[in-house]
Amino acid sequence: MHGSRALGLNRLFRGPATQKGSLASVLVVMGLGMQPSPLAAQEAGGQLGEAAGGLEAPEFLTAVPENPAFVFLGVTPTSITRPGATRDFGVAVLNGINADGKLQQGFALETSPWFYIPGLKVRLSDYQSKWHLRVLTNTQFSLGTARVSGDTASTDLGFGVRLTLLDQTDPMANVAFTDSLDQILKACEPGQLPCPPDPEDPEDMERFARELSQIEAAAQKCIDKGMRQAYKAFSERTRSQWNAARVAFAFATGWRFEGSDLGEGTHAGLQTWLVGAAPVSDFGQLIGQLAFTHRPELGETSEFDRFNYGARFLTGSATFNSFLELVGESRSGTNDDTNDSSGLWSAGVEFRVAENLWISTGLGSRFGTLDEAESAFVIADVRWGLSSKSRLEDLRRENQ
Amino acid sequence: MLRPVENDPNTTLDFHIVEETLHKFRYHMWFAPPGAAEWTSFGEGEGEGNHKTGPLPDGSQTLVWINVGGKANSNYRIRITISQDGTTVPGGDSTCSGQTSGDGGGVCTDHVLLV
Repeated sequence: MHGSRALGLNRLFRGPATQKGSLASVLVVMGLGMQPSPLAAQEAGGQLGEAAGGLEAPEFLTAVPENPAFVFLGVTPTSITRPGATRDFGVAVLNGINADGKLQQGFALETSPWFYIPGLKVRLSDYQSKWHLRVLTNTQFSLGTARVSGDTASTDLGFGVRLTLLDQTDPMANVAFTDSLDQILKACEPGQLPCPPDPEDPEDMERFARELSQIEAAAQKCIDKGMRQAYKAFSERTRSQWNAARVAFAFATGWRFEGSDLGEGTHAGLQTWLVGAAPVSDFGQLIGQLAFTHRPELGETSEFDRFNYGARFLTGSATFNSFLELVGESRSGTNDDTNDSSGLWSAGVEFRVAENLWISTGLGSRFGTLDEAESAFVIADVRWGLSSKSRLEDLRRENQ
Repeated sequence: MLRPVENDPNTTLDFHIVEETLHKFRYHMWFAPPGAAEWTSFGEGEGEGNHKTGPLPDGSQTLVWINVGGKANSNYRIRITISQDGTTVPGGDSTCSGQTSGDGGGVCTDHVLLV
């Protein structure tokens, strides 16, 4: 669980200060609580394994991790290698191992495996019409290493895979979007090329390369500008599809290598995530999440299994928004007697009463946490708040 | 970078473009005989296509320009095959590849010297 966010929720549901806070802050905290949390920087070493012991506030996921290996390791790499050819892939993997045959720390790689399958070609038209090709080509592998916290000589290695099973918001699967790119790419063709060089004259070859490079840079700039406009237009066209269906699955596992020695690996557990969203008529969306984590006893981390679940129902229109959310977490299989479960529910509604004037309210309760008896209490006294903008709009946007 | 491709100066050249990744490709092709002061267009299109030119004398150059659009920071790849009489000529099989920018755009060129 990520510190700042868990702290926010715990304070929200426990602290008297929150109960005195405005509803606006409650909703803001709820909104922030649903954003992906910043992970520890790569340089600081990984945080593989969860904090031993206590159960913190469960979180709601609106998407599975893009790079599950890095989430598994608890790092955010400052740079990620994305090899563009089979040979580059091999070189990149070898770069993760030093001359002594030991793992390099801070290695991060992300790739689409289909790219390296010899002879496999996926045309855009096939991608747009065939589900299995969309799944195949959107499958992402991630691989990374991180220094073990408290043991600079040892290295954690994480491997992850992400499958996008359904995504109705994918622009490349949208024929209207890809057709719109034709005009952009045609408009950015060079108007004039540099004079053909004399292949026997190195200086003339250099002149040609320099001038061609300048034209390429101008074309790149032109295409990038067009692409930004195309994506913006696509986003505006599909705004009404904020509740589009999406399903994604991710899996990560890893090993700890004592002394970074490849022969001294110990399995470090696994994590899986499944997130799906489905439209409810034109006005609502139902999002569900499941996540499972298994960690063996490793270093300072105690053994445990953790199961997270959650569901959110979100409705939205130009003048009314509401949400109802339930998240829960169950920890078992521990060897330090910290098995437990907890859950949170929260809800909010808001109405637009005039231009730039929203009235909103929200509430929630917490139950069955740690050794406390099950309890339910109102937060913020179900008070009402006024705001110049929709606060739940952010929830809808993050689901897109 | 200029790369040599074997050429029969008495035979028509056939350029074949094949898209291999999930991007939108727009290409334009030119040739220049030895000593020419400017390029002559002989084909353009989007996606995949076949375009003929020549016969061209040895020492001629060809240039294929490809504009690419797709997902941000994605690897793109397009294959360019040059053949004569239905057979790919030595050096005539190449790929234009790279990574799109953070906005999803890319540019790729393939410059050939016929020898």
